[in-house]
Amino acid sequence: MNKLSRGFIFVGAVFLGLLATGLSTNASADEKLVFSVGVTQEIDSLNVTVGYLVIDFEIWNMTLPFLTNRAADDFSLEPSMAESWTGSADGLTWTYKLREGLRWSDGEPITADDVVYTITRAVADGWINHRADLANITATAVDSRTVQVVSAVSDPKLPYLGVYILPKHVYEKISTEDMPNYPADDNVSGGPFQIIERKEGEFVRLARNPNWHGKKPKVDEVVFRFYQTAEAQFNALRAGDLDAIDDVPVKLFASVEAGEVQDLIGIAGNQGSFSELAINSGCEKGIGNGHIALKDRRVRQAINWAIDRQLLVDKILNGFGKPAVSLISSANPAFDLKIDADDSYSFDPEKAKSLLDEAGWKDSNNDDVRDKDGVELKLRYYDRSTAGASATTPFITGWLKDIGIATDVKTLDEDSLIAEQSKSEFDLFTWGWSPYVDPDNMLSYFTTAQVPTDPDVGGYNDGNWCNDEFDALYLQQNSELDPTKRAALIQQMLRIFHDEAPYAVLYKYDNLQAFRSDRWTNFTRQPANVGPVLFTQSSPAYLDLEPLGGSGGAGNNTIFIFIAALIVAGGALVILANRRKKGSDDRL
Amino acid sequence: MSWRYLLKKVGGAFLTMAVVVVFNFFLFRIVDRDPLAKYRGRSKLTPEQRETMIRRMGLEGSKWDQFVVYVKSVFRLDFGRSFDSTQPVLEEIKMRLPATLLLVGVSTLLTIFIGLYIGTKAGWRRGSRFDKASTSASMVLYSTPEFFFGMLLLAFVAGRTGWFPTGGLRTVGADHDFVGNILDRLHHLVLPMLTLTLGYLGSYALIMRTSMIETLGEDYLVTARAKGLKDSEVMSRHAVPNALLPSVSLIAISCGYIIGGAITTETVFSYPGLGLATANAIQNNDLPMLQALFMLASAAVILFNLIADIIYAFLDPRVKRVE
Amino acid sequence: MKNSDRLIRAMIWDRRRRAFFGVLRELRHDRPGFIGLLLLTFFGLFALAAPLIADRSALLAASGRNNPDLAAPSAKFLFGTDEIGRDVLAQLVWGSRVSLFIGLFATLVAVVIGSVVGLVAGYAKGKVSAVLLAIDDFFLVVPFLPLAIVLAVVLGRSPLTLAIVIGFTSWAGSARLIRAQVLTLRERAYVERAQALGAGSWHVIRRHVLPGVAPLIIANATLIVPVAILTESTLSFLGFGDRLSPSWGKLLDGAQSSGSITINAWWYFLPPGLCIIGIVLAFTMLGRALERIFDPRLRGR
Repeated sequence: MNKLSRGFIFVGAVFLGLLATGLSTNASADEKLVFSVGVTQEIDSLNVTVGYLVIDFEIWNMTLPFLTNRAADDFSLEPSMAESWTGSADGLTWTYKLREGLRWSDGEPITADDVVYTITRAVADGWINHRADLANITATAVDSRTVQVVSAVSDPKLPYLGVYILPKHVYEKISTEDMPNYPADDNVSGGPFQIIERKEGEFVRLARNPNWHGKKPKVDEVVFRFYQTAEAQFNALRAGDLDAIDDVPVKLFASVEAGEVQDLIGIAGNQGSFSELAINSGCEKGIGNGHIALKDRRVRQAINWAIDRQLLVDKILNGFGKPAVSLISSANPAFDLKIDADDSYSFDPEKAKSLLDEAGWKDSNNDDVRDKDGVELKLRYYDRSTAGASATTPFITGWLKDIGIATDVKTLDEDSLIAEQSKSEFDLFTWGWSPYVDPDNMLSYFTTAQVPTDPDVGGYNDGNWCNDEFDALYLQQNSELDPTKRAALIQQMLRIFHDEAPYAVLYKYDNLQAFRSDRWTNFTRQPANVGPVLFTQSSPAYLDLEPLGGSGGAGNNTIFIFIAALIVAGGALVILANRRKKGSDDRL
Repeated sequence: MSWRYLLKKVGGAFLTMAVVVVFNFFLFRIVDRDPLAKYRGRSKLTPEQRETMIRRMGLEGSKWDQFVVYVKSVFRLDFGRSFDSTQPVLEEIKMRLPATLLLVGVSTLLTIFIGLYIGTKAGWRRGSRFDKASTSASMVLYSTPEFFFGMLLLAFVAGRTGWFPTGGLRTVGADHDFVGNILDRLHHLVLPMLTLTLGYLGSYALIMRTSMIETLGEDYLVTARAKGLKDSEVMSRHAVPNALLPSVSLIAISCGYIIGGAITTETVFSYPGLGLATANAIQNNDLPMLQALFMLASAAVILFNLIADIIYAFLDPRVKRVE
Repeated sequence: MKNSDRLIRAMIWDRRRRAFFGVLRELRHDRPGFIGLLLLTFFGLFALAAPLIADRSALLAASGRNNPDLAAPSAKFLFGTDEIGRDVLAQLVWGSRVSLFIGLFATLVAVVIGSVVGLVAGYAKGKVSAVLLAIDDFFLVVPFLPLAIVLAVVLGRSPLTLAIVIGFTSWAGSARLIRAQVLTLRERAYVERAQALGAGSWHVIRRHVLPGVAPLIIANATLIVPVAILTESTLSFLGFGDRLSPSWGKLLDGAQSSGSITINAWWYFLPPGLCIIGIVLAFTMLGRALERIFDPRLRGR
């Protein structure tokens, strides 16, 4: 026994003691009703003029008001800030009447001025989350509670106007140049909740907004905590650190569904999110250097026939999704393409091969890769570096190899991939979309107007595909006010998209979410029965959550640990002290 | 320790830092293809605004002009704004620094302390059962990737038992008093710290054991023991201080590895420090952030090496003669 | 002339062979070193025998088509299946090739750079040496993992580029060691005599200095391999590895991201973890033993 070992014991004991006390403090109960949500995506920006991630939208849905809202059950039109509205006979002019006594969380009144200011500035500055909905719209304030909105063209989306309204008294102080850097830390809310604390990279904490006009939520606070890995987040839920999580890995979700994890329930909700393999179709009006073979529709179709979508759904999604063969244009499944099973892309490598033969791509030099006029059918295949984004790649590249198409896989971060897409310099890449409720946005992305022509500006049309018939139909549906006729037009467009195959749409996937069923109930899904609870179109679930008395089980454990740690620390000291008595003949 | 020695070491550290600064300039200009690729709202920029932006980012003119602008901004600690959060990089780093200092600091101290204890004891009684057991254990610890420990601790300790938090820095929204707050932080620190400590304990113990054995071979120690001085006295007065010497510089060099360990450990436990910021900055191609983090980490290792050199000189009078 | 040349060559080879067997003999008496060698032989055979143990096609994503996912070990799948129903054992054996390739190739890169820099810095004097030392200092202090990640992201993620990146970032220590050794060697009488006799620098390095530092280079190289393998697994874990090659790091990452640790699918996460620990241990034990054998001062370590 010497000084060194005594020092060691001392530090060890202090450490164990600290540990024990640290554990015991955890038991201090919280009076407030807090609903903690784990997310794997960090907030991109709270600034509604630049942010674009799902988590950002969830927070805006909770803190910013809309004129009108979407119902939880079926996305139908609902009053929100506006209690009523009337339309002109031609459907171009709509007059909204605001509720009385609306206030921002800082006490300032919410008036028609705020609405007009937001719409006017959003159009002038081209705010990314506003501009699509406001493209043809102008607004004027009739009085402090009345807003008149005029659309330059007839618009089937109206009178729904789902844009976030911002507090004029805050935003008018920020210049257009400074806007992209504005951190939106004013915390002025007009929604059911308001941000009360944010630690970047850690959490954002929201409390009820006392000035909210609508239904009063039962929860006092909602906290979003960021986890780096989906597995860590799941463990946090299991341990009781969290009440809900999004983005549960499929196998873990299956174990929750199977009842293998106590006190948890899983909800697999669908709102039309899908994954696709984008194919550079080489639009003549565009730019870029896509592989020549992909300009031929038959080659694109061959790629579609070569993919076993059911296997992808079984293996990658563990069945929590559905194969899909054309664009999913709406969160509402009623809009999906209705197509005969015989017509749609089933897994048929032979058909794929004969289509390639027909297109003139044959393996003339016996290197197992098809070629034509000395050009090999070898395609650049880009993959996103985002966790989990590349699961389909080894499957698809394997199937393409089987039909004689070679691939050169490269992993890019999302921004680099967008840069390549903005130049249309790719052959194939995988990504996905989550559609809005109205199909208009999703359909607009594949019109010729969205084909990238300038790398600095880019464009949404990431199949680099153009089709005059599709463009004409797009304009028609965009002004067709009869819902049945419009739905028929959209079916036609989806059929063209299917046949022209600028995408190999792979599957619709469910959002897998899990909750502490011992603490909460009444999880509102949007749309009813099939949709998810968290990260929905209008985020109504937080208003409906009902607590179930049971608090977390962590408290009992910590007391047990506290005692155990004390015993360990004490025991260690006793043993080591005894050893010391053995005397100096023991050399250490 | 002579002034000359000190001056030489400090000069060397500055020289290395200069190389880091130059290297950083080139490294991040290789990565950076389109400087505005990540700038929000770039589609709205007029050509004039684009030019202003590029000038402000120091990406205008010849490479030499850019270099001058870059060096000036490094001296002002101005690393621009993070592409991701749009906030100044320096602020972001300041915000995350304490968490990492706490994690890395506590783990390093623990690792050094326990590692030295085990290594000394094993080296002192070479061939004993303790030596064999601890050396084998150290080898296995050394061979295990630290994130593997972390993954196991996370799933089996935090997830199953709930004894420790699964991640983060603190209990969100808890109204702790000052002491409670500290204890809460410590409670969150336990698993990441354990991961990092286990990950680097093995190599420290092995280093210390080796230098203990080397020291024990020295004549004066053999003489001291032969003279019949008490073993405990020989050990604490002569052997340990001398064996510490070679470990000092090795430990300083291994600081670079601990920074790597902080990246993986913070990732496993979603611990919002600089390691996690580094992982995210790489993932998101956030070049201004990455550049600053890289420079900071290099500066930290250089500083540690300098401190080690100075300690070395203080402890070992022979250094003076060699110089 | 030719004959004497051949004779000299034969003598050199004979000496080398004897040296090799001498080292082997010594290793037999060095318990940890011997265990390391055995472990290494085991992993080497494991990698070589890959085609005998599992067909390469078992690596294809669609190969798990008719298999249950995350199935426990059975007669059909000795190590169970992964989250898409593929045989874990097949990935483990084929993965050993990827991991060993990255480890060995990275070491080759590191040793070549390290040796050249170390030899030149030790042998040359003045400015050349000073510049090389400054570069070496830089690579010693630069935070290794972030640098490796940045380079891997820029240069691509194939096993070959990963190996080059890892090698490029881990040569500084060996250069330092070799330089020190060269500095002591060049003071030796026989080197000085050779120089006095008018031998050129290259000749002196090749004939006198290199053989002197070779054992050190070998021992040092053996200790770089495990670091390279650990680095590859760390890169994979952080998501910066090659996603299409079944390295052990990639397997561990797959196990982690599919949640197999949480649902206790031990057959998926333990084997790659233990393989990484095993191979790193093997190289480390062997490398330390070689150091002991080549450097008598370290005897008894």
